Amino acid sequence: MLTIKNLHARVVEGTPILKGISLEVKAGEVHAIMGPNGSGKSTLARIIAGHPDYQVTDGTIEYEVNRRRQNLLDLEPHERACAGIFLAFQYPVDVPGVSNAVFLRASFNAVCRYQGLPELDPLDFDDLLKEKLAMLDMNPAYVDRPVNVDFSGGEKKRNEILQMAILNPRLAVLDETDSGLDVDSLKLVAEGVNRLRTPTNATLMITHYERLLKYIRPDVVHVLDAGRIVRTGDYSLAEEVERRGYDWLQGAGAA
Amino acid sequence: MNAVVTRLAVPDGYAGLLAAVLRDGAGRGEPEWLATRRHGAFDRLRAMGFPTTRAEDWKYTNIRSLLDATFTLPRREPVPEVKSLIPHHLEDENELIFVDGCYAPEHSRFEPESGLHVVSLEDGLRNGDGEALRQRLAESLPGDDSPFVCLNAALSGCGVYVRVDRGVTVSKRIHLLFLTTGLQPGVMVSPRVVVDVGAGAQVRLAQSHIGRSGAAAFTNVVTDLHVGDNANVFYTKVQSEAPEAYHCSFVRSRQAASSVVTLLDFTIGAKLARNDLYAGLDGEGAELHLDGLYAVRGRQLVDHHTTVDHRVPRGLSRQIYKGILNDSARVVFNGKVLVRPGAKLTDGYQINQNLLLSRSATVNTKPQLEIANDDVKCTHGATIGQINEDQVFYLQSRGIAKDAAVAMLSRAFVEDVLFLVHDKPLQESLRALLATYFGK
Repeated sequence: MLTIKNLHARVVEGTPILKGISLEVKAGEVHAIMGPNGSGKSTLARIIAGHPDYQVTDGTIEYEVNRRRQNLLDLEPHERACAGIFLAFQYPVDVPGVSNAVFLRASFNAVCRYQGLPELDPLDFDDLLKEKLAMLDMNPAYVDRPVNVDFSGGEKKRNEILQMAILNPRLAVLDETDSGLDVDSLKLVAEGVNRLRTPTNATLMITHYERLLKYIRPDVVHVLDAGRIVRTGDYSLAEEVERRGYDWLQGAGAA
Repeated sequence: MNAVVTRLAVPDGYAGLLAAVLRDGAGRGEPEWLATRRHGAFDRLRAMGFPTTRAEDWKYTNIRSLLDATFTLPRREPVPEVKSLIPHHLEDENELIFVDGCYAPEHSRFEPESGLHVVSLEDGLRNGDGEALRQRLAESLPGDDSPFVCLNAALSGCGVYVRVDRGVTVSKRIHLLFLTTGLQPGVMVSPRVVVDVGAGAQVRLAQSHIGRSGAAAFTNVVTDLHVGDNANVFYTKVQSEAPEAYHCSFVRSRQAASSVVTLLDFTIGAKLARNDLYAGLDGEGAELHLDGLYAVRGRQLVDHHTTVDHRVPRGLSRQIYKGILNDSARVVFNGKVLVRPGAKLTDGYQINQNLLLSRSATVNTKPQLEIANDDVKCTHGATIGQINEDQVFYLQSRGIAKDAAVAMLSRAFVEDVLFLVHDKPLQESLRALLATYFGK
């Protein structure tokens, strides 16, 4: 589904952050990317979503769904979203003056239009929204509030998962979705993500700690350091990182 | 030594316009005092001339192109159809329609209500309202020394007199629609609106100026609101003139004790628009809500000059002006809040906020407080900002294309002003009009 080859990237006109990342995510898989602060994890997530602050200087990202292979870097951010890529933000953005309901419907219908599917009118969309709110055990009062304005950390993260549930992406990239969450919120968010898993979609989780991985079990774990993947393994790698920290892996990628 | 030119002569053609207005008036039996009034106003205008950008109040607004243009007076010609000119037709209201500066009773609809008197200015001057109207027009008001108010007093041909009796709540919105069809190129329309609201009365008024593209018209309108004790007035002005039109407007509001006035100035059209507004809180405990919303692009210029005048104690004023600028558009906001000596316990708030969608757009904003006593609570401020790129990317990452994201965020920026319009059908029609700004 997602094939990244030798990816090099930097902040626009800035210093290099990613120095040759290669990885492949197949449909049905859950991958975790772990690493210390500043290793480039979040940069990778934002580049996949098309954030304009970053510049790819070398390498490729290919994205394939329904046997259609596309060069992801050729697509605008909204086209990537419409093609089924979803980034759950580490810091979801406040959008004063736009209600969640208006935002979610505009988003859902934009994706429908792009995929050539019929749009939903407000009443039908409301039904869909209610179903997803119930699934995530969220208060329906959420939807009339402006997007993320005065939301607690936990509410913001749950709101990200609500958006994900509405858009039903093929590839979900969760950028530190566990940060700032208490255990109860973490469980709720993880449950939400798990319910959305199917054999045809995939998840890429960016995290600093192992604790999220207890609730969402990855098939593959990568450890990133200084812009390179220094080790790839199964869940036991995450447990080892939890036990030993990152120090023993640092510098390994240069070898 | 060269003298600094601070005044521009009244164009030669204007004397000819006055002569034609006087001839026309005499033919229709206009009272003698009105002709005298026209002469007096025109003489004052000639003595003061029009301002250059050397004048403090016209620093950013050059009116030379307006003065260089040639204008004609409205011709009284029947117009077959006007509905297509009204983009957002509001049901369930009383509509008075003016086509190219002439009252068009055949297109208007009005259901009489007890305690409500609405007449066109020319009818009002002839019938029983003549004396009340004469007194109103004879009163001196702030802004009388403005050249465009003088020009209006000299040339005004159409207009409306609205009077609401004491204690009457008018059920339907009264909508004054000034339409410019483009059938008469270069028409100068000088409407005068006079509104008298009795003590304890309540009324909703809208005044729209709508022009068809291609109509290089000049509208020079003056609106006077006289608001009695405990009265409640909602007044909305909508300016959606043709892109090549000129628009000058002066709204004067005077409120008596404990009255509540809610004014909204909505601007989306015209090449050059100058909106003067004076709101006098003359009676104790009067309350004013003054909101502005503008969305401009291309080479449009909108110049707002507002004065909120707290003359007596315990007045409250809330002013929020917000707008969006694209391309090379320019906006001027000059908002004065005066707290006169003795106007203790005044509570004033003023803010002007601007969203720039282009690097070539310009805002000159100057909120001013002049406070002449202690024991008042006044705050003011102004902001000029750009669209938040993090918000744009957030919306993009949810499938919304960049231009749609910018439109959504811009609309959100002014949404709080629209939200203040409690008249929901009117709010919806303004929202629809605003949508045309983002339309392709």
